[in-house]
Amino acid sequence: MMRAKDNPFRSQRLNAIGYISQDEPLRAICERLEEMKSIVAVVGPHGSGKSTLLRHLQKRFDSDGYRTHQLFISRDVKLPWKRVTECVETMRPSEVLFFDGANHLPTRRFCRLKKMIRKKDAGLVITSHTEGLLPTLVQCRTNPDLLKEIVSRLLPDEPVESWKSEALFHQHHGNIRDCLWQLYDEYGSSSYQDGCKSYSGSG
Amino acid sequence: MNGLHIDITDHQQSFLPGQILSGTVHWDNQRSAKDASLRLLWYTEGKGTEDIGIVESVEYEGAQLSDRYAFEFTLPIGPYTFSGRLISLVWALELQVGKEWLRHEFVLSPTGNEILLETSGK
Repeated sequence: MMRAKDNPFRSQRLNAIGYISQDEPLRAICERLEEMKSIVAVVGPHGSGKSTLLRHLQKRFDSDGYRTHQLFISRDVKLPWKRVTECVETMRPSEVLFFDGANHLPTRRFCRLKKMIRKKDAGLVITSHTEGLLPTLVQCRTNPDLLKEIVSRLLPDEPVESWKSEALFHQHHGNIRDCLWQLYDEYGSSSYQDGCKSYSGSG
Repeated sequence: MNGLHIDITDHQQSFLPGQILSGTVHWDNQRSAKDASLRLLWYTEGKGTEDIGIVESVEYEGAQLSDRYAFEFTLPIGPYTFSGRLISLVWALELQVGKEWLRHEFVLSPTGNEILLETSGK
């Protein structure tokens, strides 16, 4: 058995790669976000990198000195409406709420949230599977080359065969997160490594 | 390496619950010594969301660009260091000096070894 902490496809390594933008530099996305007054949606299907991009944008705002807030909701993770209103009530002008999965809110409540945010003169960046809730900042897309790029970063010493990433990509209907979890399970069945480690870094 | 060092007394790598973990931290020629601190923490790694618990933290106020401090922590009774196929729990000391950081792992367990959760029948 391979220990979870040795698995090359563990979440921490995936998060470290961050969002790989295919159409434009990340800097351009950040600039457009400011032009759009930070009221936007990151749109795309399951496993296309919406949450990853949202985290990147929030980090960027944090490092630029903005105060940000974070909420998460999904089909499986409920979020009491009171928690949403409490969060928005504490917000001041120019602060930004990064709301992952906001499309899971009932329409009436989402409209109420939008109104509250505008009244506060604050920002709202959401992820959504469909367009129309807020102006679209980015439409996240996937393709077999993107999967191949991510896998080659996680396994720099192993050649990644194109046909394999293509087959995996189609097997999971373009959901890259599911492709990577399958690879996690496959690698999890292999060898065991022992020993404590030291890691260092910057930033 | 980034000039940060964590030296544990006698190079001990595994500890029993409640045992003392001591040593020194030192750093050389850093660009900034702002927010210098040492944290005793555990975190999870694997398939899913990372969980983290900061057990104790020491701030080094007035730290210099090259500096050295002794530390001593009494380890808690748990959680134990363990690994399965889906999740690992790792104990570590984390030294931060300015923007640089160093994490040093160790084992906390009643057996002195990481507990391995094997899947039956695999």
